[in-house]
Amino acid sequence: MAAVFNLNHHATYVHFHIGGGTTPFFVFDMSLSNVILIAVMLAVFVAAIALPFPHTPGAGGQK
Amino acid sequence: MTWKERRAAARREDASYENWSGGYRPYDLVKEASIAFGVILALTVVLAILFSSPDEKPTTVKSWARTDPVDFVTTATTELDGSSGTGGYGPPYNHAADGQHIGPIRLQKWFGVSHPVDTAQDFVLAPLRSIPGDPTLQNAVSTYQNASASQQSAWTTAYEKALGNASATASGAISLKSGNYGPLNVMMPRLLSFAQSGGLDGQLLTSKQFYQTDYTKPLLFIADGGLLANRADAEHLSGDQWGMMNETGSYPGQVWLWLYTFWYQIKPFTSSWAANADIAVMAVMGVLSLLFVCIPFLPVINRIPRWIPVYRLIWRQHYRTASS
Amino acid sequence: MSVTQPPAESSKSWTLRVRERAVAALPPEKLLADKQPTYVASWIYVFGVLSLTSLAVIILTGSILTLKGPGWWHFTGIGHFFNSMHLWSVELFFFFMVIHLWGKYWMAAWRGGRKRVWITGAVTFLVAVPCALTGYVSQQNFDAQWISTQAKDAMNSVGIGAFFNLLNFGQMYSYHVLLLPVAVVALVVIHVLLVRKHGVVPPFRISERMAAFQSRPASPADADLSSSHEVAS
Repeated sequence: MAAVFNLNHHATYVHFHIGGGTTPFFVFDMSLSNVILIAVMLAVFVAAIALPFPHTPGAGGQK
Repeated sequence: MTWKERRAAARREDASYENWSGGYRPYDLVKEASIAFGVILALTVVLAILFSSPDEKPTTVKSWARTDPVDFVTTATTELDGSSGTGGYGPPYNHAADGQHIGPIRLQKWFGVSHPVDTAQDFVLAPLRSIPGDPTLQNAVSTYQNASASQQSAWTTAYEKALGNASATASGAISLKSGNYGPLNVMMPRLLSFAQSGGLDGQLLTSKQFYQTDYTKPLLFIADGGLLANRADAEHLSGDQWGMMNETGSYPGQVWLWLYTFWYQIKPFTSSWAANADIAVMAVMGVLSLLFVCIPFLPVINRIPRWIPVYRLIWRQHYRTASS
Repeated sequence: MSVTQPPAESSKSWTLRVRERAVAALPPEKLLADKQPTYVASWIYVFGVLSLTSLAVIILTGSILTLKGPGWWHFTGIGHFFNSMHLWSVELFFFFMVIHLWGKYWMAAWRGGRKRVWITGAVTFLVAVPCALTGYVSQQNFDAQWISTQAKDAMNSVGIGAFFNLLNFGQMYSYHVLLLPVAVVALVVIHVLLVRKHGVVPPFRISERMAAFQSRPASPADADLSSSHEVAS
């Protein structure tokens, strides 16, 4: 079953490094899919605590 | 306040959060769980329709021998003289090395050789011995086995040196400079054609018994070569490419392994500790995992939620109601 | 049938003891509560049940895959579809579980005798990671080959490789389909029962209420609780 979006192609990578030369100090090399997933996770977390929660009837009533 | 008084106060404060004596409101637990299940099921179906899942075909010994015959023969020769990755690995495959350690802690050595692999025998000699109807080949194998260790080493060293400049022919064989390689001139090309026919895949898997689910031998052999690693490198799956987290194609991978793979990208794990990087990373992650489980008991860490009041956002409705 | 005397206190049966302890810890109205504290009013609270239901979908789709055997999904479209569902439900499980974990940390949800809730949750995450790993190495494709031949070095370095062989498909498949899911489910059950028993952690008390609290008769405890921190400390 073919997918709507074919992800079976070479990925795009988010790449940066600190320090140059043949042995840089730190290299970050992650696929864009992973970066997007992590970004969405953070966004969903912020939204979950920031978005208003609907008031339900009987709130604060019963003990 | 003494430390004892502080502890007692903390215990009293903790106990004060045990029960809630405030208000309640109606709540349908079963309905919420049912709705959540429906939502997750629908989301899963949608994601599967939109993106499917990766399934790149495995590398076989046959495909490796056909795609890169020089690499195959080079690897097979290093298996023969024990200079391959597996040949010099140590436990649990052999005693060629002691394995990784942290100071005096040598867990790899202490757990011993539980999956013995004799690279010369398992990857070269036994497969060649299994080929019937070829007396020239069998004589060559006998010549090799009966030679002294130094003679065997001289042949394999010379052969490996020549393989550095060898090339593949159109028919899939290898062409290299002639030299004093002894019986290797007969053995290695014959092993190559056996591999290219697919026979070596089967022989490596079923050498112990017919029904087999243990791919240790074929996988170690393939991983000792360059083809698997080249495929992985092209897909950014190698250890120094945050490979643990990445996936084939453009799929998201095991994102939760970010901290496991992080250490493999920085010094000293990439430099002075490189020879023992795996045990060092496992040790660090073991400690961090324990600390993670014990967060409620960790001073400072267990106070941060109080000092950085994210809770004010989470419970703002409650605080608003309570203050009014 | 003759009327029997109830057993004497000292000879209480094990069954009776287990039942009484269970009912005392989790009476039906706690186990399947129909009301919740009014402070449970944030979207962050749904991530526990989302993690739980993701796990249910993982097990459901995984069960379909085991019904047809490990090779099925490579050769049929429907098999590949169920494999895709299994993969995405795993991604969702970790996605929601991590957000749930972040929320619980910032709530300091271990307060009020709830440390075991945190511990069981954290251990569930740590057991889910190798459960996923055994799944990845059971795929019988290039990904499985690469992951197993690389991860074996980490296992071997600490001696685990001597009895947990990532290159042994049969062993890894058994761990993935039976042993580790049983461990994850057992931990999740204990975790959820502890939440039902202790309830969801109440909010921190803050300074507006500290004034009311401080007007109570003075005691050594009050001296501790009226520190300069805004929160009761």
